[in-house]
Amino acid sequence: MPAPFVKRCLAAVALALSASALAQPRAADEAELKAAFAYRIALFVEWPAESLPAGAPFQICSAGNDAAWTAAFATLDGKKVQGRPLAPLRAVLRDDELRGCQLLFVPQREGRKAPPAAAGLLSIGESEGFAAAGGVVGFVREGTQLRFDINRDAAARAQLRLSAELLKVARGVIDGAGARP
Amino acid sequence: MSSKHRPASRRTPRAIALAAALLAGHASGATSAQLADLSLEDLMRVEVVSASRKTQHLGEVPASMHVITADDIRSSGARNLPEALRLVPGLDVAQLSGSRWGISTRGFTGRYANKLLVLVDGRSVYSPLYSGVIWEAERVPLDTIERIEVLHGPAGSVWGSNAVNGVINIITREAGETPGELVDVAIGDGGRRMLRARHGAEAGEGSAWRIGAMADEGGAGRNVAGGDANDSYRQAMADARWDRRWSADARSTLEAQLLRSKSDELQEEALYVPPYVQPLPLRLEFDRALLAARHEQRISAGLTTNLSASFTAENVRFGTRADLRTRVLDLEAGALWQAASEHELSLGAGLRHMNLPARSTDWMQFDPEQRRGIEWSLYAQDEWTLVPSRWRLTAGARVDHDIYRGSHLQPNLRLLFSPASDLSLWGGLSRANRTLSRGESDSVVKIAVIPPGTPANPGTLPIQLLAGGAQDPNLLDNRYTDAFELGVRAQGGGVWSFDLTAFAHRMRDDVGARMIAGVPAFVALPQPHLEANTVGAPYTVHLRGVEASAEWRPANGWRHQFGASYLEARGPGDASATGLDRLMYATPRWLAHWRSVIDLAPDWRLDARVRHAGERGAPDVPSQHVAAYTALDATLTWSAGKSTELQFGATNLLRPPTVEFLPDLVLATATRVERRVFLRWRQSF
Repeated sequence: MPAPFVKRCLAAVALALSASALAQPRAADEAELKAAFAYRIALFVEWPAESLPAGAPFQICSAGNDAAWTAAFATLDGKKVQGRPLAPLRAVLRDDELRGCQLLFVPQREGRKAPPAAAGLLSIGESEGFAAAGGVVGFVREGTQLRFDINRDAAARAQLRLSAELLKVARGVIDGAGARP
Repeated sequence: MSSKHRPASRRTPRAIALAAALLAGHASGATSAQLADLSLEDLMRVEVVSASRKTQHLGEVPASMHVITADDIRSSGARNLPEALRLVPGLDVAQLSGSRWGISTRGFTGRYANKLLVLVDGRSVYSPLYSGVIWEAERVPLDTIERIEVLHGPAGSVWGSNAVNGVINIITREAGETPGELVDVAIGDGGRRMLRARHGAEAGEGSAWRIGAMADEGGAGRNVAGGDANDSYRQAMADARWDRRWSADARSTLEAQLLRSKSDELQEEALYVPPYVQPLPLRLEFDRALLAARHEQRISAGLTTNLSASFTAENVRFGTRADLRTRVLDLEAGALWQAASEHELSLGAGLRHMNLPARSTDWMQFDPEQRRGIEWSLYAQDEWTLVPSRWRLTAGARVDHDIYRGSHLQPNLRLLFSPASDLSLWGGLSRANRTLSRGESDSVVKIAVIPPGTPANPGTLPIQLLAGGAQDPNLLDNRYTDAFELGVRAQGGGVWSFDLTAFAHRMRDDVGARMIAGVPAFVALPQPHLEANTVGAPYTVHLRGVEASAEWRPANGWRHQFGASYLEARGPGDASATGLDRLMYATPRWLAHWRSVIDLAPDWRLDARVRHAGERGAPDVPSQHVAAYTALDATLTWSAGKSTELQFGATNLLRPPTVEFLPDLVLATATRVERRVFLRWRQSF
């Protein structure tokens, strides 16, 4: 086999591989998409100073323990929120373990029951109706795309400040009575 | 990660989620990082096409496919499956009467259409009695549907027999995804009323359950002659489901359904004395009890298995004309195995015990009256990534053994090429089989009486024509369709997407009962007449066509869907003699579809659909012609608060009451499909 031919083949393979690595995200895990959403949403939120201890990383927690979500949020490695690096996802099984979480992700199977409105806790839920039930941000499927609702009262109770831009791109903003007991 | 989902795969949504989770680790650091780098606006443009935990562009699927989501169904105001399926471009959904529908893709539409496979969570609801779907009785509660995938074209290598022209795959939500209470009430003109109630709760330790009930009824409309169409219906259904996640690697589901459906229609009864035919009002009584269980287990990082079992008991009584029972026990096992980084295998086997007793009636004689047997299937498919993100080959085959004609092989070969991230081209070669039905194989039906003194019967005695497989030597051993398909998909920035498929099918099947076999026999009672057996004719039909669909989102909260399809059928020269022409031209050449969904204000949404169906019927047989029509369906939704939704909808606008489809087989008169309005209230607690 002539060496130039082999080299050309290798080059072609390398090119194909690099091209595929550069390709846009065309098929990603829905969990990863939601993780990316959660991260992007967090960039438009201001936390109360006392809920972010100096030097501590930004802690994202998930309700329940599911390897799929751990993997999804691991794709955010190296990102920063509020100038702090992200700590690995922490699974929370009981409400009293929420201490130190800045963002709580509530997967669909945990239902849409409202999380406790702890100060400095941004709750993002996967189920439809999560925001209406007293969560701060709830995902909704619209056609084939993902949107989210915001509960401004829940955000206020958690002493979070949401930027106007975030409210603008939300599908719905819930005001008024907020969460039911 | 590339292509970890084939909608036409046997795995359940959760299996996809598991597969996705498994593969996320080593497959897609780059794409995920890029996701996180997208702005919120860009993230909102990413398509969530398939499973609950999986995003993917349709560009990854080497087949012609369309997906409708729970949101689509809800915003359309659809009250039953056929109405929901009207949202699918390229699918021919024709309403025959108040509760009767003819649904098909790629030709051969009809009440008794027997080439479209319908599955609910992987379980076939294709009736073994007449090889079709009894749409008027198929009540999957729409509020529990997560999505419906509609695949145009053969998919027998994956889904098994009868996936000849296409597959409709209905995937329902886990109990944990429908917590709380829901009450859904709809009332409409024409005496239509529907009530649905559901309750769901968590039961701790990762388990959840729900129970629900539904009642639906509608009054009778008018037929073309202006008389009573006798097409009222009344249905009651109860459903229950329990899901449990034992760990991140295992989950189980138990499901039950009880259904009672009564629906009327008008058939024709042949007489041996003038006027030789008279209308016969009949009631279809359909009862079903279903119990199903599934378990899914991830054994290792690359291997997920699932087991499912179901028992279905159905009693079908068609007035005085037919009385059949179905008792089916179905067992299936499957595995999804990432054998190597570039090979993903799906393997499976199924066993089905069929017990199909029937009672002969004067009109429909069964021989044998009892049919029992075991059917089995084996399948394997490899998805081979030749060049990551560029070339992917899918090769598979399935063997199905049925109780009538033995085993059949259904192979499938598909190639997908993605030259760019937003463009993909695919081609496929496949074969799919259709099994005989109990009615086709074992019954003799009194189809018609030819009056004396007519061109077809110049004698003095009426001739009773009999038809059916039990006495038909012409029935084929193997009915199949070979298909060649080519497709292209493209999309731009999440704002538009485009999908085009061209296909050619060669279909081998048998049909009709128009050819008299042997010498007519004299029968003295109840009135003197002759009895003539007829035999069907095997045929080869070539279908060619194009399916195109596009989606365009000019702005947030506004989207359009367009669809157009063209179908050309070529059959044998004697198609009109064998009655094949009725089937061949039952689907219009042209179907078109435009849907626009607009969020008018934060709480208001308008969902409007315009659908066009071209003329039906053989070109040279005016009596078969059904005029082309264009109709508008529109639904306005008001979200009045967090858990209340009010809907006002209207269907079949822009046209007078219209016949959409001529009666197949023994149905008597065509029914006018009228304009209808409805009000609907959904309340969750």
